[in-house]
Amino acid sequence: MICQRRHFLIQICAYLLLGLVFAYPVQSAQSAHFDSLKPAAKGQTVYFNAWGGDAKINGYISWAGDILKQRYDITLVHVKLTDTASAVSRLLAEKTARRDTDGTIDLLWVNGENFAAMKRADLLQKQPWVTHLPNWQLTDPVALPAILSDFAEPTDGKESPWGRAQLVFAYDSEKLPTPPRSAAALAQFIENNPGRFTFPQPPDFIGVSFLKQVLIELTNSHPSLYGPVDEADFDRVTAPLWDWLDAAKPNLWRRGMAYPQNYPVLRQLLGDGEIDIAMAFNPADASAAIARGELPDSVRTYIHDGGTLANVHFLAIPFNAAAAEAAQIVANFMLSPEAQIKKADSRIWGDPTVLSIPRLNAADQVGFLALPRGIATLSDAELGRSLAEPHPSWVPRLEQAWKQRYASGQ
Amino acid sequence: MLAFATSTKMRQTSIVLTGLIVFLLPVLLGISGVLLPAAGYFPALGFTQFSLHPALSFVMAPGVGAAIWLALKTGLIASVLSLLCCFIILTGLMHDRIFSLVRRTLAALVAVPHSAIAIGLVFLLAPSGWLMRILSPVITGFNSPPDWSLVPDPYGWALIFGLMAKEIPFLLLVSLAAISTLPVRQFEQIANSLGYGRVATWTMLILPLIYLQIRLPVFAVLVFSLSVVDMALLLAPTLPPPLAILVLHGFLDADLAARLPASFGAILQIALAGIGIGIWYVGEALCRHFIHDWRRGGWRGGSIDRYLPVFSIMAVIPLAAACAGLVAAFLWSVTGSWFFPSPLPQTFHLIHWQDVASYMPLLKTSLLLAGGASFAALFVVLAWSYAAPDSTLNNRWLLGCIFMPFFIPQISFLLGMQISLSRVGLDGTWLALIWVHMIFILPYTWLIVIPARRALDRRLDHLAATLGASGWKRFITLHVPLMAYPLGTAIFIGIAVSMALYLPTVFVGAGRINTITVEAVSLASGGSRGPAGLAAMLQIAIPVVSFAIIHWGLQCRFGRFSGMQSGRLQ
Repeated sequence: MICQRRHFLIQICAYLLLGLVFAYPVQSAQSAHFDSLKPAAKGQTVYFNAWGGDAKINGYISWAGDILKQRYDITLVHVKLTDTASAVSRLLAEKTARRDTDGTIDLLWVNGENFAAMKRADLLQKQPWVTHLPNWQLTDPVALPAILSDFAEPTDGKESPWGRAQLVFAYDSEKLPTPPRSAAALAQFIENNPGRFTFPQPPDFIGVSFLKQVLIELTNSHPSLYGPVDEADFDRVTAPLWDWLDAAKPNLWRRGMAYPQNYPVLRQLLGDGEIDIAMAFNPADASAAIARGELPDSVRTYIHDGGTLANVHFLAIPFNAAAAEAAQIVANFMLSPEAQIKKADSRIWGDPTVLSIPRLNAADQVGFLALPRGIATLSDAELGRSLAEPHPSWVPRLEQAWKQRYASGQ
Repeated sequence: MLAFATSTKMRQTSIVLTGLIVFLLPVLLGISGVLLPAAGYFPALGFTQFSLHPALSFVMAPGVGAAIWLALKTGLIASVLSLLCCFIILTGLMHDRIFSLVRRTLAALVAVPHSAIAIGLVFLLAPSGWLMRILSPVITGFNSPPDWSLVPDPYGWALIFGLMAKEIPFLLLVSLAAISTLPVRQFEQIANSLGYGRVATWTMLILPLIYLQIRLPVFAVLVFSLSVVDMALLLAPTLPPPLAILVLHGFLDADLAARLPASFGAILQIALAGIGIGIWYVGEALCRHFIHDWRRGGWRGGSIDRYLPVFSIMAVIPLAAACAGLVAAFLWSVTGSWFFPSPLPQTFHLIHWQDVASYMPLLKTSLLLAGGASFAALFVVLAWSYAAPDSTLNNRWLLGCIFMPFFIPQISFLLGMQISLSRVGLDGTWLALIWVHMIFILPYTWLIVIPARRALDRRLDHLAATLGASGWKRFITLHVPLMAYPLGTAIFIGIAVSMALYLPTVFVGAGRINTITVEAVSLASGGSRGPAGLAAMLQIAIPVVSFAIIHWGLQCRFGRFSGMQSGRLQ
């Protein structure tokens, strides 16, 4: 314990020193450009389309709204989506209707294949805007390249990083002393414990992520996963995944005849005791659920020994946003140390930051380091081993192949 | 005289035309919005040539056949069983003391949105649900929940049960409105004096008359059940899901090209509704035949009456389960933690209820929208009924337009409608949303108000006219008091219908205007039972409070006219 505390102090001192060296980025012409947005943004209303299924996240967004109102006279309206693709669909409807200005969405929480789809259909702002944001200086694309390439798709400066995610598994340590820490061990676990494991049904985001996780592990990060899908090779590369699933299916929850629809439902099944292992993309999710009384306090989290999938989620401004100026100010605020510290607090949300800690000033570094960790949240060191996301073209292809094999319920 | 005739004719034509434009146009625009993509034409995505490809790729997708079969099976069984249970309850319990209890829960159950009932049922019936928690471990011996396929089950029975829990109260409510126009007591006395039993009396005499009056709402139930989305998301099997869910997934797919085959699915859904209605027609003919034979046969049927209590109790089970589910939803809204197999929550708190203030804007929007759309629908129906002669009101085209939402599945035209509205810049506006809600409410308003207007005693009207009362004065001082109850019922049903509309609010509200229902479904998808339970309670609050206010207001203001009124609010 003492040792840990000393370690913590040393860490703070080190960051403080580093902070003194790196903390002050040069004021550039970019921030002058940014300042010129403020008059136009004043009084604008930003319709922020973001998944609304988590009360904590909704609370965080409304906190940001209060501050934006006070400081910039911007009204932030959280449009709560059940599925981000529905917003992409609405943008498409607007493009079909040639509504090129004054659209209904000003800012969208997005990543991965939704972003790729928007890029393909030209649903994003024409000009890159992200690197003009003053707080962009606080990120470090070298240390965290994922903020420049969203699932291997270049962001082209058209979406601003908002938070990080990593696939973590949750289990009840009272019922399951040693959780399976690899795809192979998981297969063994499923065989020995029929009906006690399942995953969200693809095309759910987490469900497909689980397929990718298993695929990466079983193929030792096959190089072709990081380029566009090659049809000629697809069956051969993915064969180990289908073998794994075929073997697991009869012993899955409900004999693999039904799947939970998303990860919160999966978490609920863990809380109800119907399954032994759940998964989420937010490392603090289980701690937050324990605090809310939705999971027993004996629940802990773990990742696979070879690492788990990690990615970044972003804020994008659509081509026809009515309040593009204010939307940029919102994105910049969301990237500020103040907003990122609040977001990383597991009592608020618990989403890891996209900022580079060494680039922050001393006070903000302390702010991050002083955050309490939830009872079931892994440390940064334990989360260290991460796997890069495959190219986004793998998502629809895996979804389709999974559907082909399992969707008819046979 | 001639001039008068032409002006009447013109007025008639103009009313029919307005009806067509106001009601038919948006639906037709909506359908055309999916017809073109279904045929392979979607310029925004670069598909500029018609082709069969979307149709083929939808039909060839794995599990589509099973999805269609599942939708048809669950939709038809749910509708038949709902109607049957409704009739059994009326026959068996109409004069019973239990019925006043059933009647009291009706308003609440009609008002509760489908999603709230589904949430409650999942929690009640799942292998880790409330029932199993009460029975475990003492009776079942389970310390952790068994891996049984209960909710959802592979055959769709959970969905059927959920639909019944929601549709039986609705059918009961419209049946009660119909019964209030029938001399039920006299029928029973006459039939009894001829020696007919209760089941025989109702089946041969009273139920056919009720059915004639509630036929359109029955079709609404049928089409809705064949294409249900929000309830199916929670209760239907997922491999494959019913057709409507497949279509929704297509519309929501991140791969935008998936909208083309999904559009074909939307057209298929309309065809499925048509097939369902066709099968229903055949069923109606068979029943008619059967009842006709029974009437001619003269069998008094006294012996089946003794089974009636058993069947009545079975018919009430879905309602009881729905109520228990709602109680569970309430419990979750005050629960701290509650783990299997504890029969009741282990800790309680009011954290979620302290949050109520943050739901206030949503409640206000829902109330304004529901109230605005209900009054708009009432205004339109009253204006028509006073401006147009009866022949216009019976005009097939006009009726066809008004009842259109009963026959076309929502999922089939809302996306296209969204595109059309967006083209004229109306999506996400109050005007568009109230309009769309009104389109869904108006058929119900029509079914309640028009018969009441026809039932007005014309002699009173003539008497008032001879005393020198103008048309407007007669409306205010005579018609409104006499029709007070049907008018109040119309407003209440309007509010309940509006509160239950999920897909239309999502598609037309464009996220700009959100209701508590959209919030509740979104929270339920997030899997947090506490906030979802609270949202369900708030969803019920608006219709239930409106019911109480309308009921009490009518009683105070118009109670003294009770001897002259018909169609009382139940």
